Amino acid sequence: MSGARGLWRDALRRLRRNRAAVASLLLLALLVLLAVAGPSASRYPPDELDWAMMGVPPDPASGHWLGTDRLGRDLFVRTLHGARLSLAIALLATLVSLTIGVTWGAVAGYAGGRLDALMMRFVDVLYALPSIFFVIILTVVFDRSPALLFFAIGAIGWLTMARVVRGQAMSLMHRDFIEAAVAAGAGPARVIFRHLVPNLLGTVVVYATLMIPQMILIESFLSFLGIGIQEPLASLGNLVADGAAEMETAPWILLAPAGCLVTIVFCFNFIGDGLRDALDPRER
Amino acid sequence: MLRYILTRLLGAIPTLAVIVLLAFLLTRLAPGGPFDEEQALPPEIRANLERAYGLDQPLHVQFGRYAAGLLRGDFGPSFKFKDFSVTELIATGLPVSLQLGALAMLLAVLLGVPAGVAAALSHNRAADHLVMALAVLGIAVPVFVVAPLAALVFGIYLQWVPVAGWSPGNARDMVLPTVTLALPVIAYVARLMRGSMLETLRSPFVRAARARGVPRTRLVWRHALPAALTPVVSYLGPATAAVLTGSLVVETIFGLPGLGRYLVQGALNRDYTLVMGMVIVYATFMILLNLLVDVAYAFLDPRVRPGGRR
Amino acid sequence: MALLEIRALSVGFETPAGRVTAVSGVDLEIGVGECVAVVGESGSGKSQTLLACTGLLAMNGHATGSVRFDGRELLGLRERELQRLRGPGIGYVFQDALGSLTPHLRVGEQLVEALRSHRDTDGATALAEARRMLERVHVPDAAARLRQYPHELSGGTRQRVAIAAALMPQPRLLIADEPTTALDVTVQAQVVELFRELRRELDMALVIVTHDLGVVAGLAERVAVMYAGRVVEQGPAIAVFAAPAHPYTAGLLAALPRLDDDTSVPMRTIPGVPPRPGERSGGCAFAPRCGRRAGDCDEQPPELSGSGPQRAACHHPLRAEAP
Repeated sequence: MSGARGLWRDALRRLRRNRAAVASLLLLALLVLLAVAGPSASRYPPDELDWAMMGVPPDPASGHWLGTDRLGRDLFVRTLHGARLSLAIALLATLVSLTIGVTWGAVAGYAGGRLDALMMRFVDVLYALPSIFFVIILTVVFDRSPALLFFAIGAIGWLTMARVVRGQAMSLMHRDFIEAAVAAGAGPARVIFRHLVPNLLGTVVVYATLMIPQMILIESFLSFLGIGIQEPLASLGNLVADGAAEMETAPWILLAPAGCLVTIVFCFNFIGDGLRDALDPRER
Repeated sequence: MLRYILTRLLGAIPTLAVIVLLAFLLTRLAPGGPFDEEQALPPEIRANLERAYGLDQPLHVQFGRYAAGLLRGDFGPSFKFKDFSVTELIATGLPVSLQLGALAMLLAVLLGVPAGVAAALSHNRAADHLVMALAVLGIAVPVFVVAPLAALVFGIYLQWVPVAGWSPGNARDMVLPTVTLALPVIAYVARLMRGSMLETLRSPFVRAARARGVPRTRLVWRHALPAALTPVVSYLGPATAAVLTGSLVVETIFGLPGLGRYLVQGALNRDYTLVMGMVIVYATFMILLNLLVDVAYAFLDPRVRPGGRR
Repeated sequence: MALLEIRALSVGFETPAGRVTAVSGVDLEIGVGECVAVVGESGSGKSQTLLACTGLLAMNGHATGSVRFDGRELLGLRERELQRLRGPGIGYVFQDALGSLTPHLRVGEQLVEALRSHRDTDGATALAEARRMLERVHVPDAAARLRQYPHELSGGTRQRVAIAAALMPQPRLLIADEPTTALDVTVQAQVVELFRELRRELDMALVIVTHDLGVVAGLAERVAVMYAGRVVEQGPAIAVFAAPAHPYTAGLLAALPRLDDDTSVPMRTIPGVPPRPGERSGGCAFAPRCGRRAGDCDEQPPELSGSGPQRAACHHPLRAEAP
């Protein structure tokens, strides 16, 4: 598609003009860098208990830049570890959702007719219940293992993606190049994956970017309730739960992970909105 | 209209059936059972327990018994709260959650709609920017961050409201949980209302009414508003989903004895029947609510009413 | 003194691409009880000219110049004052009747409101008046119609209802923007006949904005031809049709197919397309398409010439003005 490269270049230009999106991108990059490299900058590991300094507010002198929690663990390092884990899970979950959703939607859009109706009816039924409940059931099934948590979360998020992709796929099916491919004898798999999917990428990218913060929120939500990530592993969710329990006497334990979480979610939302505006065909 | 409602209700049954089946299958697929957590049980006792609860039967038999029980209104025993059946737990938790959820939705509409209208009417001026900024905050900050913070600020520092407990009828107890729960929905409704109102004010029929010399107040409230409400009404479905989800957190944080808290307990304890029972109640509720939304649509827009189209 | 006097009216819009001029320097007069047709292609600025008179431009629109109604300056009036004027002063009928009636209000309520917004009448009287008005515009079974919703009516009935709504407060001037364009041909004829009747009965001035010359012939006493945001010719309808002075008008008339045309010869068209609002050049806007183009045509936009009844904005008009 010779037009496709021009599309991305245009979009990139428009994105660059969106100040909120650019600022968010930079901030996010900074946070990711911190999350990856930050803990090594501090001399404290995430689960070491510092008996001498339990429940201490931020104290640069001792190297506990964000303070410690009730058990004496350094908050700076724990928060960054939490960010790492939450982001990792969210990214993996988004990947799972993407894979299932795009495949489901593309197949339904390509097939049309009865198969499409059936597949979409399934989506509609699952839509009737807020996804969180299914996720909770799944976490019970997977016994709250962190490795499979992302699968449980991702297994639910694909619904919206499937709907969107199916809609796009349906309208694409009428386009000339698809008809040409089919006429040339291309099998369904080839048409779907070599022709349909590449043209859906724009929408998919936007939705994926907007899905990541949702995944982070779902994971944090579950971890907060104790159904997600368990101690001693740190995720932003269970860190906020810890903080909430101690907030009367030690508010910093709540503020660090909460602030980190909110910032990450905000950044992703601005970037996603920016991408959507940049790729919006109406702008052209 | 009545026929419409009945057909929709009938159509909802298969959906519910699928959800029940799915939930059942998922819980049964879990490796291990509800008794694994206990201190190591001697195998005979474990076997007896499992037999007593019917867990040794093949899956389809179990499902058959469960479904039959459901039709009788029996959700089965709770595996952890040994003295209670799930039905009893639902009966205690439902009124609390219902009250919380209903109040939160009411608050969301009563605050969100006027806020959105006000923002639209003062387009791009101070009030508009203020409302929109607050809306962004309300939407992006998750409930489980707002709830502890709100409890901290209003409950502990300012001491305006109590922080935990729930005695029915005590209004002050309900303030914090309800407002915290409603916040994201208020924000979203305000934003939705503002956008919809702005668009409706520009639509041809509003301009035509204006050209007929209809005064501004009547233009806004009688012509524009009902037409602009449609997206907000559509949103009520997802809004309820958000409120249901948020209630899990709010009930846990503020210690309210509602369905949400039982669900969380059930999940933590691998109490299948409890989890399933709660999920089914929530699902039923959602389906009923979506039906209600469709009926409200027909009410607002005469074009949608069955038999109304030419 | 004319009922409506438009002088040097210009309308511009702020767009992301910059400022766009839709109308430049329009002069137009409507006398009491007179019927004037404003003719032009889409994009000629005819609708915007009339919308500007009653302050109904879109939010990003801005009008300069002077519009006087009964001697009173309208441009710059506050919305409150304009609201009182719309209705009993100037009424408006839009092209899309379905779009000009509120979908969730019954017909009766909208008619009644059109009256009660301007006059202190009680509900029952107003409703009776609404029924009479529906009958006057030949809507069958008027009483039943009052209780219906706009989408339940046929296109022709809807347009009549829209006209009735505009007439409820008995305006002295009615602006009808493409009232027949969206209708079937037979219904069109009925609506034209309706306007003729109403003018006779109500002594109401009428401005019809249209691109359909047949409608003009049936109704208008005077006609103003607009092209690219300017009035290029105006005068008595009969004179303009019989002997157009501006090449564009001549082209429009020539393009009308006639029953006695030789079908083997291609239809006469005006070559080219009108310039879009952003693209208008320095000289005469019609020059690129004009068969009579000369050197000075590209230098200066022509003004409406002369003081006689028929005037054209052209450097080389087809006929000299009557003295």
